[in-house]
Amino acid sequence: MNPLPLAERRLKPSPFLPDLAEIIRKDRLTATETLYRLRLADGSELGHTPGQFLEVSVLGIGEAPFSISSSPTRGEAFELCIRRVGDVTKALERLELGSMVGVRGPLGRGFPLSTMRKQNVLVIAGGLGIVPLRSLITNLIDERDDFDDVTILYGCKNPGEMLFKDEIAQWVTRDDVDFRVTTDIADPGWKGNVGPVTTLFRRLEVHPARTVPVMVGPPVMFKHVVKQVLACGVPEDRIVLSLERRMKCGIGECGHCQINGVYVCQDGPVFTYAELKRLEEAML
Amino acid sequence: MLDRMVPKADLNRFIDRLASEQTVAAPVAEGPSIRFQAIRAAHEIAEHYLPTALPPSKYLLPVKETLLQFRLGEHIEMEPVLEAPEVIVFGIRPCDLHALALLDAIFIDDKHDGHYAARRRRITLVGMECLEPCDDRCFCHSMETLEVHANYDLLLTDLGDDVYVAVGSPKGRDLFAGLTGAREALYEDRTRLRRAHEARDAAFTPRLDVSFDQLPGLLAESADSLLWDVLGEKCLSCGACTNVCPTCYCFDVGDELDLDLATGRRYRTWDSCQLDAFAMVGTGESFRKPRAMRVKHRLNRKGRYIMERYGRQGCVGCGRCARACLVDINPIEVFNQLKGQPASRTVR
Amino acid sequence: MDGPLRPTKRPRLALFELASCAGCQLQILNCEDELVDLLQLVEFVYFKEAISETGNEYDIALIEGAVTREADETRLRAIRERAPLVITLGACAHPVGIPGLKNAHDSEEPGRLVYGDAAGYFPSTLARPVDAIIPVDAHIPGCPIHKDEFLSVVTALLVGRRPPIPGYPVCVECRLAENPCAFDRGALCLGPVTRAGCGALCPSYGSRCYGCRGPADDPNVSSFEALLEKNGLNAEDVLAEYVLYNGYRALGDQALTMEVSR
Repeated sequence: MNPLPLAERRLKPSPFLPDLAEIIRKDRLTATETLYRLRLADGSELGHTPGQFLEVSVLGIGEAPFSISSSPTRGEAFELCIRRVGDVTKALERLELGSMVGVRGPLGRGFPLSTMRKQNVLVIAGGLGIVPLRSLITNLIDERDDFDDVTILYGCKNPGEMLFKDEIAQWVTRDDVDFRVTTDIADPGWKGNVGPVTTLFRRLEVHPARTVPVMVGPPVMFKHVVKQVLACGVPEDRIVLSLERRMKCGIGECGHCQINGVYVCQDGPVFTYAELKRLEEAML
Repeated sequence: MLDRMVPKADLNRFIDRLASEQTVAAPVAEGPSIRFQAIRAAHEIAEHYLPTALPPSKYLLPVKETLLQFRLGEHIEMEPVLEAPEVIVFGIRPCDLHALALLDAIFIDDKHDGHYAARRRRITLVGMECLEPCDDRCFCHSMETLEVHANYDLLLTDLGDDVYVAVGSPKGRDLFAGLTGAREALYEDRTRLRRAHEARDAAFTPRLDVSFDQLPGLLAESADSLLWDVLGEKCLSCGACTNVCPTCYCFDVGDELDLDLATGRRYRTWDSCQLDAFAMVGTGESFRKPRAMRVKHRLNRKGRYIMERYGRQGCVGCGRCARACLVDINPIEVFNQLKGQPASRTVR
Repeated sequence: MDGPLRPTKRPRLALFELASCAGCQLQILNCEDELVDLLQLVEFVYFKEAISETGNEYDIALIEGAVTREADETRLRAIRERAPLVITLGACAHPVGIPGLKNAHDSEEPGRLVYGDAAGYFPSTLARPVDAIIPVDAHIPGCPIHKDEFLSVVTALLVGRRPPIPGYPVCVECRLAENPCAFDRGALCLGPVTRAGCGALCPSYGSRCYGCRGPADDPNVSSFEALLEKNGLNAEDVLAEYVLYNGYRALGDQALTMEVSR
């Protein structure tokens, strides 16, 4: 079998052909998470929206989806915060600075920044949910005048699992951002709030008509937090959440990430609660 | 385009010649199993045949297809592999032609998938009309896929000694140009065709108690039916139903590395939503673990989700899944039971 | 060309044999076209069927065969202590394969049948899979193993990938091979509950699946047994179906549950 002539290949390239990106920095954040800074090999900008994801390849090992953790406001390099769980993530850890990986994307639908402008934004992160939300938070801070009150609630299992500690230290000191953090289990040095992220709602005033809550976290967090913001009177179509599923092809073909009739990779991963509430497979 | 009429003997000689010059695939009986495979002569083609073991979609989405090849080293080299053999697929049933039209809509019109598109350009589709129902598992009549009016290059109707040939594309017309013994279809030929169609329409009876365009609504209402639990207990999760389905196209993607640990390939291979690993994420959590959910997902894809997204039948009523199922999960019965047993629904 | 995935050192492999026919070792020797490339990647330090040298330092221990003697247990524990990775080869080592057939008999009987009066010189225990004695990192299933699968597992381990052994049942591959279903031919088949990866080899040659690769990850055992019963088998026959290759667990648990391996 002969491959197609080159001209034809250029016309219809494979949707599976990655671009190359160079690892320009690696920072170990916790025992299991590493922050990778990458730059496209051709020097172009990624051009993403916070909330979008990339399919990252270590050729010969495989490809896996990761949400983009940096803000498009921060130049052409971009960052991915990756937990070591499988073959691809372990292979990434072994790669040295200067190594090339394949990237496809940005893929999917990101956070609706236009709906958030001139509104209060309530960011709620659970566990690894902070990874895509860091992109949004940085974007909000960089374009701070475009948004009204910015409140960030972050819950993690224990203080050791907290990500982006340096940046959080900066967010905490800003007076134009209300940042609150909690942990399920305290350790001896912990002086902050203890309990699930919903406990941070206690001393919080939410203006239902002017607030866009944006949440990313595990399914169990969605259940409780959605209930909470609904109780505050926020309309269903203004509650924003991002789902994690097995996004294999990233272009709505392969079927792995489907929840009911919806392809998370293509129709999401960011949805409004109104879009998801009738889908039992969304598990909300 | 002008239709043709050709004596069967001439058509067979034409197929013999074509098969000696290029790749012609057709349904061939191998014991009780019928498969699309390359033939050398017309007499190899199965005379009466149930839908083939695998649908003809295997020519557009091969069971395992290389997407990229790469070489690792100081510089990473990679290029897409767009393999596209020329093949004439002969004897495709109308239900399968409908399924291929759906795949075209998804992989070409919606996804611009170069791998699929390259194969599609090099394939010639020769349909063969059904004049009798296959068996009690087929329900194309109910899914309105028995008749086909587009997405073929040629469509043949067996009229006894003669074959009526509807020309569906310039490609089909050009292919047929080399056929000796064919003549333009005349008024009386069209009359014969119409009579055959009338006899066909009398032979096929509706099997579903709903029309195909009511299925999305029915399935949406049936999300909480207890029937899913009953089916979940029976289902072997063996993936037979999805593998044989002409409208199933889900796949997995993986890498292969040669023993030099430097050259390799990325490929895609057919996958099934009925297998427990299908909806598993990196951390090992499966988002569709219970068998009942998996069965429900498949039948919703067939009857509802694809229709809602692409406006076409996600099930073409070929009955392959029912024939393949060892525990008799049959979409006809499922849809009819959902229609007939609203009382079996629980209240959330 | 050296890729970034190539390990800096050639791992040392040692192949040990317990109760088996040595057929899995032969499959490795069958890698005729690939042996040269394979030996660029790994070094065999102990492989009785192939080399006379014996080394006692190794990185990966490959174990063929079932545990049938007390001495086997001691040997396995010693291997486990030395080897960072332990991989079983074939059905005898996991789930227990043909040696497990004797588990269905009175414990003395097989010895008497084979060795007669001399049976006392050959003490033997219940046939058990290797992972009943020591933790195992991966199983390469099959009776015998397939050489391509052996090569793909070795390659995967070298570059730090999980061994690509499917968890789904044989039916998946059998349908993709367009085989007529054994049940449609009136034969019984363990394909619906047996781990794939063999390419449905036996059914593709007109036979049926005997379960040599052990249970799939997610078998619906109760529905499968109802299917066998519908095809005229009673509970005892169903057990007999499992015992050929899966005797240790099928009998060990008494219940007709095929334990999910992995």
